[in-house]
Amino acid sequence: MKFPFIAAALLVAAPALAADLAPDMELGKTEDAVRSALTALGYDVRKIEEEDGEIEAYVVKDGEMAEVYVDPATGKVSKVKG
Amino acid sequence: MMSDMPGLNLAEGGRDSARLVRVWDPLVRVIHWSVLLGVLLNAVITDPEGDLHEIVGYAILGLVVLRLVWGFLGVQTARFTAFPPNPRAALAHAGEILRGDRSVHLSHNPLGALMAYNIWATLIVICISGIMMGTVRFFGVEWVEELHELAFNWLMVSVVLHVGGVVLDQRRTGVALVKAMITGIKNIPDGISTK
Ligand code: HEM
Repeated sequence: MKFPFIAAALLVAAPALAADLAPDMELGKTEDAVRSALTALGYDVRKIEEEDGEIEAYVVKDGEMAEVYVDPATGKVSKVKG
Repeated sequence: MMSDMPGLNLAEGGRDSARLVRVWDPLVRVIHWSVLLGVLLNAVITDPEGDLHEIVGYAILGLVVLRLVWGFLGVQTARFTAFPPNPRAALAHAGEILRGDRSVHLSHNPLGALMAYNIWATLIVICISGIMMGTVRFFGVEWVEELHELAFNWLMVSVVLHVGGVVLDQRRTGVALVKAMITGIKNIPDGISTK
């Protein structure tokens, strides 16, 4: 029930990024893996760090900024902040 | 409004009976307490990644810039010429204090002046680095974030010293400085000369 809602919210907040960074998408379980996955997707990874038990990546693409949160247990995107 | 208060003399300096002197105009006072409120909000309440944090930051920057403009155009005690940044004078003033001097400055004393310039500069660094963090160019760039945090920590140290200095100077001179920053009027005790 929650996912469509979050996805819709992300679409409103950051349309360009949400298009290719949906929650649940698998990026990797380590900072290095997440960094290469994001880089492969064409993102400029500015910074990557651990925050509250999650991997947080600061990315830029096409002049848009976003913070991508990845759950290291599943390797999946948990949240994208535009 | 206050000018018909009994015993109120406008700044003349150098007289010796107990008296009230109007020193801080409304703009200086409103800016001081608004900046304090803004710093409190952004330090304690607002989400650093939220819009409100940004809005409050811009407001603080605007207030500081306004105060700096007022430093050139404002009333006498608000002008930079009334409290020039002068480390040597500050040192001399510290010496005077240690020797028991109790004279009162109508504007900031030379130590307080240095602190005011320090706080303004620090606030500007915090605001500018914060604005930079929201630009594509500096987003996620580590040194910008570190500068923002370092400057904030320095502001906290400065504010502790600032409030400590105010409290000590109130004791030394008997002038209710905090009250003066609220009402605009310094009470100069009997037998104390002003600079
Ligand atoms: C975030 C907190 C604070 C900041 C950034 C701050 C900043 C400043 C600045 C920049 C000035 C110079 C004012 C001007 O010329 O326009 C000043 C003066 C003053 N502040 Fe603060 N202040 C803070 C907190 C406080 C607090 C909590 C008090 C009360 C205890 C206080 C009492 C005063 C007083 C009395 C003066 C005038 C001192 C004098 O007569 O020379 N400030 N402050």
